[in-house]
Amino acid sequence: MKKKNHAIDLIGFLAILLVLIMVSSYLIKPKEYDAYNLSVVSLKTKALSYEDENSIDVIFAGNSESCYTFSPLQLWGEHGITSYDTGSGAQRLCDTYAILVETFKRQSPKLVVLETDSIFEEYPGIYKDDNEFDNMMEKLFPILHYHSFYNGIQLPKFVLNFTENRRNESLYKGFQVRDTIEGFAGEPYVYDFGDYVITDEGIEYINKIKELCSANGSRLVLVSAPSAINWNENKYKTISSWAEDNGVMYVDLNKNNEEVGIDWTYDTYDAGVHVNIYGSMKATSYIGNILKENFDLEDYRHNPAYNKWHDDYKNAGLY
Amino acid sequence: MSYNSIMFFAIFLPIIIILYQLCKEKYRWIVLLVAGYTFFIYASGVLLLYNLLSVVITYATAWIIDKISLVKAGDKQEKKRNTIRRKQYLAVGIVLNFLILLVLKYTNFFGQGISGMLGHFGISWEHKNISFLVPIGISYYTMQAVSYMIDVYRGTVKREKNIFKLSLYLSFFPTIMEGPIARYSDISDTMFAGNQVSYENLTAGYRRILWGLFQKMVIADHMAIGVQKIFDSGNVYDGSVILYGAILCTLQLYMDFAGTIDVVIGSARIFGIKLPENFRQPFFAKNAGDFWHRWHITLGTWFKDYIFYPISFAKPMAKLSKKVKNVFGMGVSRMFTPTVALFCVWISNGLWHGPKGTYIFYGMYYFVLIFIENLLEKPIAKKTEQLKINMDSFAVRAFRFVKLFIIVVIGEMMFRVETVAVGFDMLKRIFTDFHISAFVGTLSDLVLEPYDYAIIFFGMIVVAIVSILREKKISISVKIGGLPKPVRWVIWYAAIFTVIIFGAYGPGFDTIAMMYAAF
Repeated sequence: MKKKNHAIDLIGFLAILLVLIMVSSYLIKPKEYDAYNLSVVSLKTKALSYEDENSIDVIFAGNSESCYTFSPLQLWGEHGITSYDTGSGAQRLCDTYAILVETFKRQSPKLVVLETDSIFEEYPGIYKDDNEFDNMMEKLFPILHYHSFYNGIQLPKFVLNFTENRRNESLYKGFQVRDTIEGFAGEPYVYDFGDYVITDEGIEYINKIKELCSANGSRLVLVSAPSAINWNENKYKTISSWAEDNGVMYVDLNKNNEEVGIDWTYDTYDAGVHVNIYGSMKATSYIGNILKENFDLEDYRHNPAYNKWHDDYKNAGLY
Repeated sequence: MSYNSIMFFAIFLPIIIILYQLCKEKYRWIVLLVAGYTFFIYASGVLLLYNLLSVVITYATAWIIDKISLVKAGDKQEKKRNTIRRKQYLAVGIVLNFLILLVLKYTNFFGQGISGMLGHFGISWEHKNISFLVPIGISYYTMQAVSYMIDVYRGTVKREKNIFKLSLYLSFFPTIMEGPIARYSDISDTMFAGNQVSYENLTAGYRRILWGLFQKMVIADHMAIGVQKIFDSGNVYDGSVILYGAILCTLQLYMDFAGTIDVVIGSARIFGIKLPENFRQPFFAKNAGDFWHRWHITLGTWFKDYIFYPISFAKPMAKLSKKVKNVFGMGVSRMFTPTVALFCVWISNGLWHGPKGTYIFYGMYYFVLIFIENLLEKPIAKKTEQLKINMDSFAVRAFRFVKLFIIVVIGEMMFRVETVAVGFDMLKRIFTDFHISAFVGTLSDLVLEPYDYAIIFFGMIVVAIVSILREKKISISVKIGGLPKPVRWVIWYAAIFTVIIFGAYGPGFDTIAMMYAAF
């Protein structure tokens, strides 16, 4: 009898546990998109929520090549354009899409500037690349995939202010400052003839991003940030061809380096992978001019409604 | 497959439990043996052969020792000869077992050492590094093999006649990666008994696993993110950040190792196998010596039984001690033997952790500290008695806690750094370059988000409460067991979901290997 009761207890306990896991999975799983790293999506969305509604005209998107290159405050200082950089380290294309979905809820940017490095990632999708078993478990029980959803819960302001990076995140409008120098000695923009193709999943996400922008009345622009290590001729050709087929404007800052003026001895903090603040100043200045020339972007510098931008520009002390 | 993977506790372990339960009592140990081999092959592939080689050496050594013991000696001289022969075979068995370990793990370390030493004498000989693939758990099962042979030699353990049963002892899947270093006499009875998986053992085992996962995945793995960043370039940070990193790394190591051991002990408990405890609230220790009676206990007792005592009671040591007495007097002589034995224990402890200067420094650090403690024990006791200081008062206990915490944190920092020189540089910075403002500024740079800090903070509070209660011999698990079923279940569901939600795993987190599996 006792044995039977124990068996019932065990089965009952596990059955309820299974139901709880299924229910919590359903509740936690985002409804509008799938994400790889929900924390990144939450943190970027939270950071953007400090901006006034419909106040941002340009959204920079992508991985670390975006957030170390494009500086919204510099763009403000030079052209009076309001922008925000939603890029982050190793951000996958699926997360870029998710962040854009969240962004369009509060902002109506005229332009989305997508940095192209992440398009070539082997795994742009939502599951980890190296563990089939874990991927299967995460598909069965999404709570295992999205368990760090709590990062999206808004913290009290005093806690937020405690950590400097959250302040910097808002202060620099998503741009990441690196002011150290570790030069690159090799030949930049090597004519690498490796087979650089975009995976089917990558194509799927880039199409989704394009459609999302169109649906929200925003133009998509592709930009390749300066990188002596991460960029090459073949990647340029692949992206050029996609951009041409899809009627999307594409600018490769590596190809035009004579005009951009990146000096790889000084303008990088990690030996040619990313630019530092000095490189970013050149790149932002160049892309700012292009955007200003090609699109109808308003200069808000004399609009009192945007006085906060003047304060942010001054407080950041970057330029 | 690490013990904190879903694959282990939700798939591998349940399959073994079912197979074990389905088997006849007599054959259940075979299920555990096959599980051990499977686990070993999954982690180290064909390197299982090294483990099997150790089994053969250990079995043969015990067999010969046992055979000689059974020979009836005709006279005293033959008896003496037999003892010497048994001792010789034991020595061969020990040397062969350690030789595998030494060749696989220490060739390069000693090669470089010899090369450097010869260089000092003007002889140029360069050691070329050889990379060996090291099987998992070799440091642990070698210690078990040696303890078994010595115990058979001493007659405290009866030789295992079935080589496969001995093989199970040396490849039991829960202990293979991080110990605890169990003695044959501690676990053989329950390991081979084939007791069925009882409801009580099953639930108690999984409860213990859950507690282990909480410590490892929720606390340690969250800490790992920040610790890694600080120790990657420790000597560029401000002293305040280094101190913070040193504290975090100490707690990470504790939570990682103690958490994994809880998973291990819980897994064995399911099969009714009671493994020895490896931790007993180490931070409540009175001093460094006591700390090692509570931290990695099974390693400490191994060194005590197989190094400290044999050296202390060895005849040559008695002779040497006599000579010391004649030259330096009684006081020095009394300290001489235990100090030599203590030195041997701690140099072995350092080396056991691996072929690295920092580990040897770590061993020597505790040798010096415990030596000083032994030296001062009596004078301090005398003084406190004279001054009528209550050694159990809160102030004394608080002082002791802070003192021990500082000792342990410095020790673990030196243990973690790449080289002793970097460690000293970091230590210096704590005293000469300490700015709280720099600390606040760098917090953000450590990858950790505000929620990570909150998880670590509240997690450590839970661990502190549980530790205090355990120190008072109160078991929370037993207390919860006494509650009505619905309340009990709600608590366990909450605990499971705490690990699922707040564990540092999956997207955005690197998989953090079990730290002590590397030794």
